[in-house]
Amino acid sequence: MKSNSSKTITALLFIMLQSSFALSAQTGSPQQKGLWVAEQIDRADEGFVNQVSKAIMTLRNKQGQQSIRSMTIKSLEVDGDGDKSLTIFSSPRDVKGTAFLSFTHALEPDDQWLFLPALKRVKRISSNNKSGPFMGSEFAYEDISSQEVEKYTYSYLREEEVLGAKGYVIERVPVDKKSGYTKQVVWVDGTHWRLGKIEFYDRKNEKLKTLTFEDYMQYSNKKWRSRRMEMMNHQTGKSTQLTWSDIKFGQDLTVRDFDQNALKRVR
Amino acid sequence: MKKLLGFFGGVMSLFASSMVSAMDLPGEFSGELSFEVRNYLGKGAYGNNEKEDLSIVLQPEYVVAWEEGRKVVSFEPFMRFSSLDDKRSHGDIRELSFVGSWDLFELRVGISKVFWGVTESQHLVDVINQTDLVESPDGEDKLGQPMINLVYVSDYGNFECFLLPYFRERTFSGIDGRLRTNLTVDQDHPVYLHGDEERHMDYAIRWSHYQGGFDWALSYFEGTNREPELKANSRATMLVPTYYKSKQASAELQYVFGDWLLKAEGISRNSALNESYWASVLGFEYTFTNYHKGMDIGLLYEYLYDERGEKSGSGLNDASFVGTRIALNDEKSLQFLLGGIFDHQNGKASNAFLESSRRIDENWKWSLEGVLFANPSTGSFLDLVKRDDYLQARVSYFW
Repeated sequence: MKSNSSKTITALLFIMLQSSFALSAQTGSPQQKGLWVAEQIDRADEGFVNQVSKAIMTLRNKQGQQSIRSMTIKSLEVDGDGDKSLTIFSSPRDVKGTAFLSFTHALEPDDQWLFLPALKRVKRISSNNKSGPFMGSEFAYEDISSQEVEKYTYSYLREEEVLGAKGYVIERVPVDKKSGYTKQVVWVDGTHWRLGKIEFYDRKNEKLKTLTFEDYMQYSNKKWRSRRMEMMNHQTGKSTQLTWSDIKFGQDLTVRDFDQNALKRVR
Repeated sequence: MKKLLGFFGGVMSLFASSMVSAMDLPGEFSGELSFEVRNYLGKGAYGNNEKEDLSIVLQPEYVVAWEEGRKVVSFEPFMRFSSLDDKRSHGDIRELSFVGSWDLFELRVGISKVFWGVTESQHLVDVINQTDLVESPDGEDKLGQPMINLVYVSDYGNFECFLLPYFRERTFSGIDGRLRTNLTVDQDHPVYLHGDEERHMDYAIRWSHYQGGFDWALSYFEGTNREPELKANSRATMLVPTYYKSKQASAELQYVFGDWLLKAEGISRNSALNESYWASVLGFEYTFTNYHKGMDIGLLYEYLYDERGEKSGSGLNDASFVGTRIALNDEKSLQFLLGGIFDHQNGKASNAFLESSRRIDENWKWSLEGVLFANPSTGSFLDLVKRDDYLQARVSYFW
C-alpha cells in the first residue's frame, strides 16, 4: 500500500513536471521557452554512454576544388561533466596519427591535448581558440565541440515545420566572449529533438554560415544521428560536407581510453 | 620531377601494401618518403667545402592494433642516404615495440621513443632517447631506445618506471660532412668510464599529472649521460666521444590560461666527471587566435640558463630565445616558425632559423628550413659550426 502511494506520488510529480515544461514552452517568457527547447535537445542525447564513428570532411572552395580529411572520433558521456572525446586523424596522410584529446566542461575552459606523432610529443593546448577553423574546414572548433546547455543563453522565436514535423526555431547567444558568433538560430523538430539547421551570425551580426543536417538514422539505443552535415559559408562561397559512417554506440570504452596514455597509443 | 617522385612513392606504397595483403597481414602500412636538398651558403671551416647535400629519407611504418587499440605493435625503420656525408647516411629502428593497456597499467616493451618536457627552444629534461644529431642541428631527431616502460595510472597521475638496457651513441657528421667540429668524432671507438659500457642498465622514474590549467612532471634518471664529452685522442687526429654515468633530477610545469601558455623546465645533474649543476628554461607562448581569416600568430619567448656558464658548451647558458609561429589554418596548412637566440654574455645574436611547410595535396607536402649562425659564444658548438649556414627544401610523399 505504502509503496503504491509513493509510486502514485512519483507519477503525479512526473506529470506535473512534464506539464510545467509544456507550460513553459507555451506560456513562459521567450527566454524560458528557448531554454526549455535547448534542454529537450540535451535530454534527447542523454544516455548515449559512448560513441565511436568514422568521419570524413570534404572541403570545397569556390572553384570546386576538393580536399579530404578523415578521422575516427570516440566520445564518452561523463556524469555531471561535459563529454570526453578523442579524435584520431588518418588523412591527409601527413597528419596521420595526429590525435586530439578533449575534456569538455560546461563553464570552465575545456582541457585539450594534442599528440604529435613525429616527436611522440603530447602537448597541452589552449582551448581558447574556439572561432578558428578545424583542419582548414568551414567548421570552427566551437561548432564540433560538445554542445552543453550552459554554453549559451536562449530565446524562443517561433514554431515551424522542421524535418517534416512540427518543430521550433530558437536563437542562442554564446556565453563565451571568445566565440566567433554573436548568435545562432537553431531549427529543431519537436518530437525527436533532432537539429534541422543552424544559422551562424558573425561578430558584425551578419549571416556567416548555414549548417544543415541530413540523412538522419535512429540507432538501437533510440538515439538519432545525422549522417551528413553540410556547412555553407555565405561570405566566402566555401563549403564543407561532414559525413559519418560506422556509427557505434555502447562500445567497451572506459575513461582509460580517453587519457594521455591512450593519446600516445592510438593509431 | 614531381611525377617521377610520385612514381617512386606510388611503387613503394603499392609494393608494400600488396606485400601486406598478399601475406594476409592484419595491420596497416604507411610511411613517408622524402627528397631533400640542403645547400650550405659558404665553404666549411675545416676543409669540408662541399656545399650541396642531396638526401633521400625513407620512414615506413607498419602497425597492428587490436582490442579497440589497447594493444599495439609497431615497426618503424628509418633510412637516410646522403650524397655528402657517409656518416649522415644512416639507418635506425625508430620503433619496434609492443604497447599494452590494462585497467590500471600501461606497458611498453621494445625500441621506442619518449618525449619529456614543455619548452620549445631546448629540451633539457628530455633524456630517454639519444639525439640523432646528423639529422638536424636542432637536436629534435632522436634514435630509437630499447626500453621497458611500466606506467601505473591513478587518480593522482601517472607513475612510471623505465628500464633502459642498452645505450645508443650519439651520431656525428663525418669528415666530408658539414655541421661538424674541427676534428671529426671517432664514432667507432667510443670510450665508456664504466665497465659495462653500452650494456649498463639505465633507469628512470617519473610522476606526471594535471589539474585545471596546470600540467606537471617530476622525473629522476640514473645512467649513461646522453651527451658525451669530446676529447682529442693522443695524436690529436680525432675526437673521442667519452660516455660517463650521471644522475639527473628534473621538473617541468606548464600553465595554460586564455591565450597564454607559461612553461618552465629545469634539471639538476650530477655526473661521474664530478660536475654538479643545474640548468633551466623559463618562457611563455602567447597566441593571437583567429587573428585574421583563421590565422593564428604565436609569440614565443624563453630564457635559457646553465649554471656551468661558458663551460656548458652549448652557448645557451645565459640566452634568450625569441620566436613567432604563424599558422594560416587554411586547407593546405601553411605555417611558419621563425626564431632566434640571443646570447646575453656577448650581447649578440647566436643564430636564427626559419621553418615553413605547406601541403600540396592528399599525399604530398613541401617544407623549407633555413639556419643562419651569427655570433655564437666562442668555443660553443654553434661557434664551431658557424660557417655552416644552410637552406633546405624537402618534398615528401606520405602514404
